[in-house]
Amino acid sequence: MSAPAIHDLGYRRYEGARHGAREAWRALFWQGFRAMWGLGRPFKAKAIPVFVAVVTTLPVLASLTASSVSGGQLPIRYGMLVSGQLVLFILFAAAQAPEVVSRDQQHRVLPLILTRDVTRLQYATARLAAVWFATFTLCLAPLLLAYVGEIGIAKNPAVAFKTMGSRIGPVLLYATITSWLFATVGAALASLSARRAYATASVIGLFLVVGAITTGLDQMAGLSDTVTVLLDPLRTLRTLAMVLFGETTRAMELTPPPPVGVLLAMLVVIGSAASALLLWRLRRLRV
Amino acid sequence: MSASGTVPLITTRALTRRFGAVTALDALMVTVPVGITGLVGANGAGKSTFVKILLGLVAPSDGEAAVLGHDVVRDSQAIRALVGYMPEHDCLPPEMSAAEFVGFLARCSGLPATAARERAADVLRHVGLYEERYRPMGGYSTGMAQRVKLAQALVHDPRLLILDEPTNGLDPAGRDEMLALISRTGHEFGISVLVSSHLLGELERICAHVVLIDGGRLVRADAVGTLTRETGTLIIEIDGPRDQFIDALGARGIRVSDTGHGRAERILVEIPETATTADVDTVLDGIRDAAVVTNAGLLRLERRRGQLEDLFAA
Amino acid sequence: MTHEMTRVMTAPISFEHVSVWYGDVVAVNDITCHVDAGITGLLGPNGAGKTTLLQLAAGLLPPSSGRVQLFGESPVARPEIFRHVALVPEREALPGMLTPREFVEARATLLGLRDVRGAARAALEQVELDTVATRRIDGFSKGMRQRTKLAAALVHGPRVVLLDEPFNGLDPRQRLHMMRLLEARAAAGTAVLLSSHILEEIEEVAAQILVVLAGRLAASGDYRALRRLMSDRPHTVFVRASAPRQLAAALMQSDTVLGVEIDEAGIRIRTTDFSALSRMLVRAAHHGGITLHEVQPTDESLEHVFAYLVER
Repeated sequence: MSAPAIHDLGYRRYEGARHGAREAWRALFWQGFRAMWGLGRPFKAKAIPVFVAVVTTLPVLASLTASSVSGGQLPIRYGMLVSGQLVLFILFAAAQAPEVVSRDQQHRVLPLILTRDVTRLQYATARLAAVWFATFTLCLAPLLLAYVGEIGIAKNPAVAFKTMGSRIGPVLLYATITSWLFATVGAALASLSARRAYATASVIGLFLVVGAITTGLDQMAGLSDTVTVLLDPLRTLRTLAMVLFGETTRAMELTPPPPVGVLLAMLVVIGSAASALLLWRLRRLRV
Repeated sequence: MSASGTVPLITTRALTRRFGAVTALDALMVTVPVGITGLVGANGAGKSTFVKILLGLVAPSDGEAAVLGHDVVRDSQAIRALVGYMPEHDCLPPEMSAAEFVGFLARCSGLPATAARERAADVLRHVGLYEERYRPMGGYSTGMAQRVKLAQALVHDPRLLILDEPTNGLDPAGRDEMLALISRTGHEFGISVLVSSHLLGELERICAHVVLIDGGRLVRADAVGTLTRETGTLIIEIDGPRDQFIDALGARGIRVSDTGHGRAERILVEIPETATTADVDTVLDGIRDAAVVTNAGLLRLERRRGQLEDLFAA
Repeated sequence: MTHEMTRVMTAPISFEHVSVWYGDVVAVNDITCHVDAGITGLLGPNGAGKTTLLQLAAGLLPPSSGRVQLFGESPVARPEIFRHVALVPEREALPGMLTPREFVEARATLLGLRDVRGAARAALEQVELDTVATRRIDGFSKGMRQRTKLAAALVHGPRVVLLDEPFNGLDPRQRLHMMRLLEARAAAGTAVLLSSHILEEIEEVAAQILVVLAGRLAASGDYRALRRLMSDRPHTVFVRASAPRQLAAALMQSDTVLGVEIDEAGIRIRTTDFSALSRMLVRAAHHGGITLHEVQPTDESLEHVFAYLVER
């Protein structure tokens, strides 16, 4: 036995590394990401994320099974798949963004964060990035699963990869732009309201209302398809999906939709406006 | 006052802050020395604005302020690494555990993840939270919640702690423990403390200095020892016939001034400033003898000390 | 019925074997006591049952067993008794969109006062909110909200005032002012029952205290008298004198003196009988020609009394 010793358990100085705002940003980002998916929380917090995740992946599994059983006669229609899931993605972003964006304000934690090594701008970008990245993982999952699945179940994976391997590009692009739109809008509206229910409802409501208005305008003023596609973000996304995955409809062949670049630009602009609103709002918060 | 060569904790020069038509701080000039200092003032006097400026949450309209030698505007980042803040209001997310929360805030102060976790555990132990730290904070008592707030202020090893009403909501035992913790922090941990509080008794107990702000200006900044020094008033409490005792005092040439407020059994005797030690001893012996003669017991005989409360009496 | 019993039963507030339980939780456990005119401090650790006692006295809660009486009558669901009681609870959401004037006037109206405006104005002046009487409450600080609650409670000049940590958020001057207000009311015959953790303040104003621990009444009465009652805890008295050792030797002759400690500051005497010591002190000093510079009981304060009670 070594010589007896009493160790001083007194307060110790911290002489170790301090990584400054970088570490703070990472902490805020990952905490936000975990909050979006309800990780590290009781089951109730995971209810919506799990529900959405399951409901968006089940159809893919079903399609993969059908495709496999039919020996490749029923290829997966990515565009159609994803178009139907947009509402679920919105639900996720709308319901979970308040967990990241409004909580600190609600519990008055902001003074504790902002008196540390992080500026308001850094705080805002970290939280927004968390919402976006979490939504991105959700949007990507079914598409990626379909992609990997299709190649996997093909009789000759190597050949399958050669033919449809390039699909990964559109898959990533689509997941990125879809999550960008929904995350920014969800986060922006969440920052305007302290109550989670209001924020969620307002996001879903916003998209529905915009869709309804566009349809209404179309019927009243007889707008061209090009314009209606650009006015309603959901329509923009659906059209983009069809085009990216090469599933153009008859109607689209008759009146070609705007070029992909324009569709993307529109979505980027809307998302950027929403981001600006979010950043403005978070920077103005009284501490 | 600080010895030459040591950097004062906080200095301000003509520090001013306006909110529209309201001037919250009006050319405030104050120097806060190292150690434990109390910050007092009426509600609306400018204390919270002052604290927010020190923490970099609000910018001054005019004038300057420096914390540990760093300017609050130019060097705000540096200050925030050196300062820990314990707000008065509730600020604990109910679904998080103390360990998680303090660890998270440690990372927000720049500590890498593993170090953050270890520091959090260490600091929570110091403030007296053991297994409770893994439970959600929603179930914490006020005492536990206040400890967590203190822990998060200490986790990044600051040089200065700013505490706002740290004993709010605590029962007497909890208050004692919190005050002891703050005292230890200031004396043993070597961290300076600025305590903003309305409870003057507490500040008298733990602070070496006190700063009084009113109307956005400095009214008084002094050592607590100076403000609570002995006055020329003797307080006497006896167990026996009061009126006879007072007569006996009179017979010995000792006049009784008004009795202290609310303490009807106290008898006050003024010692004039010009009194020599011999004079004072004569008075003390007179009191002793008056008690013997009237068969009274002497329960208390002491010089009244100044109180921080006197700062507000004016 | 004896005179004493009658007096107790018609006391401003009286509790007789009162218990309150919620399922398994016993919030108040067989408490018997009464509160007279004057200021009574209600002390106890968090969760001891103080808030429940105040709610019982206000008639907001019926006891699960036992009797609560205000001036000899039960206050539960008795509006005519309510007129004489006011409760200032610790947590109460004030309606943010009202102004203090509207809030206090509303209360005055509900209580059936004749001169609603006048009473409200007087109440607001008393708490120094008259200058902001027309500003909305949701812009108020904590201290201003407290004062609004106080004004509403005092507007009808109740004979019983119940306060739960009422000075939270008030600055020193405001606290002092509120204390004076309550003292004035108490001197005029109001029974004030005041729950607080700030023992230094209670010590200044409360003639009587009630100490509650885990739902039970641990002690009641004047805290100095309580201290004398604690015979199992010897008093410690600090004395500074011109000839400390000589004095110590003289005091040691008595068998009520358990011990004397001497250091450079002075002597510390431990005794089982403080009263007897106080006489011996002056006699021994007089006899020995010793000047007494300072005599201070070191554990007589309310803080010490409370700590001893909680420790038991």
